[in-house]
Amino acid sequence: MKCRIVYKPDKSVTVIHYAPKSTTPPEVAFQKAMKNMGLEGADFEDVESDTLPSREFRNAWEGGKGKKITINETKKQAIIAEKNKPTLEDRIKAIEDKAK
Amino acid sequence: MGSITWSKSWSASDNGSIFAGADIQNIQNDITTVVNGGLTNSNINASAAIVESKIAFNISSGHDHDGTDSKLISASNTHFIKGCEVEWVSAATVKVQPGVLELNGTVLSRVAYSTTLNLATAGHWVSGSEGASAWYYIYAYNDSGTSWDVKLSDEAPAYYDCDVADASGFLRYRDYSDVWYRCIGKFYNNSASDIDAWSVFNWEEGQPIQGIVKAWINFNGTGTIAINDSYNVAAIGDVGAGQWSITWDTDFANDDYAIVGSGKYDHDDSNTQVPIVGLDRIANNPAVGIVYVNATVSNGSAADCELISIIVIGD
Repeated sequence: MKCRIVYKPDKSVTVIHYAPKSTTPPEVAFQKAMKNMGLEGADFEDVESDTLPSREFRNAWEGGKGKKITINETKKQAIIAEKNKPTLEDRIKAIEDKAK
Repeated sequence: MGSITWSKSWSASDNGSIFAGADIQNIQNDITTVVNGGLTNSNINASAAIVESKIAFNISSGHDHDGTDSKLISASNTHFIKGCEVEWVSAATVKVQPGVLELNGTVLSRVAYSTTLNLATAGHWVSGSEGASAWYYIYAYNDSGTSWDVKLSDEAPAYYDCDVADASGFLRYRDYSDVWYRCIGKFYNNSASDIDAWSVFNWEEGQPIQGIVKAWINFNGTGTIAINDSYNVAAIGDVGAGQWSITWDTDFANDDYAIVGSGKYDHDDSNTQVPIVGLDRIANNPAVGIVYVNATVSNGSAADCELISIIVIGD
């Protein structure tokens, strides 16, 4: 199904997905969503939703008109680091192990 | 006794046992009558049992269900409506298909299209006049005792019923100068003062009603975002990890509506926490046309969920 990639000035992207049961025609729905999100006049491209990259690094998505979506490597590494950060349970266990 | 009674005796011309020339003349007269469509009710025996499917109704002009040679739909069937579908005609006009409806205890029928309502025609309005960026309503009224026609109004229905002016249920009616009108549709006149074709609704199907869920959505927030099912939702926006916007088909009357949500991780996900779905803390959220929702886990991290459900109730 078609979706709309909207490119923001800070290079981040919002992807709008049409609701199949909407009573609003797709083009009108896309425009209404853009307007409601303050993205009126922003660059956008309509693509098939299955061509979007994996959401594993969603917050590292960037894009621009004609470039579609790319992954910002710096943001990607920050996401990986955040994911690998020990959990609260891990840290408590480490303290307990140390105290033994 | 035969099913068809002929107008003349075939034996009146003779002694009753001889088939004479005058009898042939009578038969010719009867054949002429049949060929020219001259049969009347007096010719057809009550027990003839002619089935309705063999009767040729005029399919161009139709026929009224006004109790004359037809059976009236019971007026006790309050709110009855059949047909009466609203049609977009042009950027300035709408009309309503033929149909039958109950209004204030009377069943009214119409076998032809309604008057084509023009927003620029003052006489087509029972209340208000044309303006931009506004919803307008199409009301049926009793125009002759047995038939209905339509007018425009800038006001939504106010009553559930005509006789008791009850406003506790699905609102269909308005009272203008002690004359009852029944709402049968609505449409949106956009910022260019053009009727949006997509916005033309029949009233029974196009109006969310007070006291019930006015919008809901169930979608998959992981992988390729997929809306499983929804009502009154135009689109969702994938704003970031665990962040989505939802744009409504029909905006709410104000931003004081109530939103509840839930989320679920995939059962294979290593994260055993239960996601919390709530409103994004950005300014002016929710707005009449959009709401932003987030899904997070207990440490505050955004979380894409396999299943997100949102239910909204409001004006």
